[in-house]
Amino acid sequence: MTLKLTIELIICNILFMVFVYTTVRKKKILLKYALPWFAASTLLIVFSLTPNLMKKIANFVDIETVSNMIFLFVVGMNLIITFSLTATVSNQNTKIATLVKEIGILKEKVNRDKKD
Amino acid sequence: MKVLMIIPAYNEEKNIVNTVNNLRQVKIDDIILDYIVINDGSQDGTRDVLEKNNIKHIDLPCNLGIGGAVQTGYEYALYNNYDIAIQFDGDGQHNPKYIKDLIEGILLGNDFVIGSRFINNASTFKSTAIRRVGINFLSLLIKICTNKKITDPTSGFRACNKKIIKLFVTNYPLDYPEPDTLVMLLKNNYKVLEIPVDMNERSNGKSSITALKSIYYMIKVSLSIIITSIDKKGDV
Repeated sequence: MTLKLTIELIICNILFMVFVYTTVRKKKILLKYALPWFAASTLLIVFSLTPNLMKKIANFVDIETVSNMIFLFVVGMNLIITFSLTATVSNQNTKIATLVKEIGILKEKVNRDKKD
Repeated sequence: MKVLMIIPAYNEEKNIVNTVNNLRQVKIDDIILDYIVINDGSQDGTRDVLEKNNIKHIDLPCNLGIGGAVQTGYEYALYNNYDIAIQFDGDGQHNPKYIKDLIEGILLGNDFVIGSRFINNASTFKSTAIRRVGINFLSLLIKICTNKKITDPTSGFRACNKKIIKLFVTNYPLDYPEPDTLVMLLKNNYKVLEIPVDMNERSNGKSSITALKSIYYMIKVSLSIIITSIDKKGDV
C-alpha cells in the first residue's frame, strides 16, 4: 500500500470517528450503537499504521494487495454491523408488540372500570 | 419528609421478599419511608411472588435494563412528590441499616450520597479481585476527568434529592448507568458525598454482569465517562 493511500485512509477514519463522536454527544445515537463503528475505525487505523504486518497477512491468505485485504475487511465489518442491526430491529419489533398488547389490555380494563 | 426506596428487580424471585421484609422494618423519626419495586420484565416468578406477598410494585411489560428500571422509579418519585429517592438493589446486597446515614447525608445539604464499600474499609465483602481492579480503574478515570475522588463509582446504593430526581427523569442511560451519571453530576458541580457501608454477598442468583460481558462493560463505561466529561458544563 502506498504512503499516500495510507495517509488518506487515516485522515478519512479520523474524520469519521469525529463525526460519530459528535453524533453521540448530541445524543442522536446511543453509545451502545456507536461502539461497533468506533471499533471498526480504530482497527482500520491500526491496519494503516502496520503495513509490514498487513503485507505478511495478505501474503499468507493469498490476497494480492494489502488494499484489497482492507477492502475485504470493510465489507466484512459492514456485514457484521448490518446483521446486528437486523437483530436489534427484530428485538424491538417484539418489544413494540408486547407494549401494544399491554396497552390494549389496559385500555379495556380502564373502560370496564369506568362503566362499573 | 417523604423518602422513596427504588428497588429494581430482574429475575429476583428468591431474594425480593427478604429484601422488602428487611426494608419494612426500618423506622426513622420524622421520615415517611415508602418503597416501590420495579419488576423489569422478569422471566421467572418474580411477578407472582410480588403479587402474592402484597409488595407494591410496577410491572414493566418488557425488559428495559437496570437504567430504564431505575429511571421508572425516579419518574414515580417525581409524580408522587417525594423529597428523597434511594436506589436499593433487590438482591439483598445492600444493608437497610445504612438508609438512615444516606438520608442524613442529603439532609446535610448534599445533592447525592453514595454508599461506598471502599471508604474507610467499611465492607467485609469487597467483590472479587478482578472486579476491584475494574472499580479502581473507573475510580482513577473519574479522578482524571473530574478531579474528584469517588472510591466506589459502581455502587448501586445511592440517595438523591429532588433536584437530582428531576434531572434523572430526563437524563439517565438505559444500561450500566452508575459511573456515567456520577460523572454527569460531578461535571455540573452537584455536591456528591460518599459514606461507608457494608455490603453482603449476593444471597441467590447471578450478578447482572457476567465474565464475558465485563470487557464490553469496561470499554463502554470508560468511553461514556470520557464523552460525558468532555461535555461542556450545564449541558444537562
